[in-house]
Amino acid sequence: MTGTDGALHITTSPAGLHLRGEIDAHSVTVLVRHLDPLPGAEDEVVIDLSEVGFVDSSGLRVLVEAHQRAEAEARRLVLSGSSRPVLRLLEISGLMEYLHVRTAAHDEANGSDSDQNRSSDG
Amino acid sequence: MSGSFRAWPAIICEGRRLWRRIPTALIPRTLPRVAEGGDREPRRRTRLSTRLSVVSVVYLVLFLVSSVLAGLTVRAWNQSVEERGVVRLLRLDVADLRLALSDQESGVNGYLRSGDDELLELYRDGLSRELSALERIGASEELVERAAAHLDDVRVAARSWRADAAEPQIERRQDGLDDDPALIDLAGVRSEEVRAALDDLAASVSAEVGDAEDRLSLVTGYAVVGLLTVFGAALACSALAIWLFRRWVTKPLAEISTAARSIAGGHVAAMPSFDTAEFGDLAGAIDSMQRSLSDERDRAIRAYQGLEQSAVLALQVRSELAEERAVTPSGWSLATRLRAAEGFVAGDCYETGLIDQRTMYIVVIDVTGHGAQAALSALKAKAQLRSGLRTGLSPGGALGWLAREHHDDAVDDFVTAFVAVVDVATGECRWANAGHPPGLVLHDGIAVELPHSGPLIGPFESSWSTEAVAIPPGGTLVVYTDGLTEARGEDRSRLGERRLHECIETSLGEGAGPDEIVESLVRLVDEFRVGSPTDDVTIVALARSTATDERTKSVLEHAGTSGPNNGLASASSAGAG
Repeated sequence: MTGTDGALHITTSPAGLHLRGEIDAHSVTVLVRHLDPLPGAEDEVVIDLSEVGFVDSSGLRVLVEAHQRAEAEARRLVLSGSSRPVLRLLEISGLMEYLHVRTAAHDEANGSDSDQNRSSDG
Repeated sequence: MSGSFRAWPAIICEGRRLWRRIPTALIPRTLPRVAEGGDREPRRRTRLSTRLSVVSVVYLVLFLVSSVLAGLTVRAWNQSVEERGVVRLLRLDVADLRLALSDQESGVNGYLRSGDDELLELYRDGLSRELSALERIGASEELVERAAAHLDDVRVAARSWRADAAEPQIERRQDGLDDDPALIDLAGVRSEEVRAALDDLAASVSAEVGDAEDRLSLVTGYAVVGLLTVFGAALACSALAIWLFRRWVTKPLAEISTAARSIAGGHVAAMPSFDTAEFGDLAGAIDSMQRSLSDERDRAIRAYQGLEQSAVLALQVRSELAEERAVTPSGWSLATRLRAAEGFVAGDCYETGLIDQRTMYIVVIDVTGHGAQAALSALKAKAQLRSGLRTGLSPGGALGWLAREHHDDAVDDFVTAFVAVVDVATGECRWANAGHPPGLVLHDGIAVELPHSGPLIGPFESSWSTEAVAIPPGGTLVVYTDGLTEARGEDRSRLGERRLHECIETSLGEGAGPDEIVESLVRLVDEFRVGSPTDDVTIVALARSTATDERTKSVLEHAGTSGPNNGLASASSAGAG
């Protein structure tokens, strides 16, 4: 299944979703449809953000809501391969320690890693 | 604040007035139900392609039959013409025969009278011509039985005339004998018999010619009638085909076009019914398209009405959001700007003010989402933060209180906020940041970031620490919302923090005050942005003048990082007063 809204292209895989483009107020509606209900049946839902150049606050909100739904279902929503602008947004909003963020450098970066990330764009 | 709440009844009245102004033409009439049986008598539908195939096959069969008929007719006519030609030749042969016989008789009679041998030659020549004519006539295919009998009569009569009369007379003459009267009589009788037989033959051949002429004219008549019939049938079939085409194709198309034009003109059109499956399907498809369009329009109108109702409210809220600006204490200057996104009441708001004579506060809030709901959330957050600060909570403590209220209200919105409390005498700034873009303290070309001291308010339970930073004389605190850094330029690029920092540093390098900094940032975003703004932009800049206060240093030395709820004791009493 593939969905497209303006600048956002969504590809579904057994592991979760692969996103390409930008997540903003316009494109977020189609992402909502793909995340509610959460895709797949694995314990871990991976949202691949490696080709996402930009996420705005409404996109962030959808990701956080999906994260909370995953917690409620005793699953994990993992944001993987986030680009620098996306990491910066997660960092600014103080959500690095709450969401499961997996970067290329670290298998999993959350909690204690966030301080390190915070100082990167000073 | 309370003043604006008192204005709500008036706002609601205004909303009702606007509601009444919505033209009734926009509200769709109920659609007549079409297709899918129901109130319509079920009609047997056949496929148009089936009908056209049947018509084509019928046409083909008619064409083949007509061709065969025309072919047969032409062939029969040809045969008749040929037959007539042959019979006419036969008549010529009979005339030849008559001439040959009469030449023989003339030759014999002349020879008998004059004894000239040349005349005898005429006789012999006539004989040979007679024989060949007899042979030709006998060989003719068109010789009917009756004529054949007459031909035999002629042959027999001619032979007996020669044997009984002509040859004996010639022999007597050659022998030098006188004419025998008996022979002369016999010759007369025999030549009479020959003439009679010849007349009979000619009559029968003539009759034959007449018959052939009659047959030809009959066949010609039939052929003309047949061809005319085929031509007429073709014309009739074509007319029928045109009529069927109009009925099955052109007329339904015209009806559908009319209906589609009517739909395009914004009217509700009842789709005509068709007895062909294809047009039935097309009409059904257009009808369902019309239905979904009408539903869409319904929704749009409802949304429009909702917007109109909330717009009045939103305008009121907007003015609440924008104009907060306190008296600035001496030694400080302040510039603020809230640039609203077009068509939205977004969730940005800010407030600056005094908690007491010594203490100033700055609150900048951004609520995720747009519309009246977000604006109300922002206003509520602003009021709560101010109350928290005035009752003595630290910036972090005030954010914690807001988060608990937010959680209790079960609001979906996310809120990011930057809260700062500034000691105007010392320049000590105590701040907390809930997931908001970092505040900046700029002095002597150095920018200090004031990043998040806790997550944005909304989904997660947390606490927000209060941090401290000094704003030295000549230093500037800049707080903004993400509408600034996320402004979209060419090629979908974003303005970003780097451009922002460069712009501020350039302004400061030129000795700019807060007003100039805010102006240059607004200019930066206006020049960078492509298209209309989709998010609010808020900028607050607070600058401390360079006139140094000796107390500042000593106070700053005592100031340290404080945890949440480490309130300002002096501010609390003043805030309550």
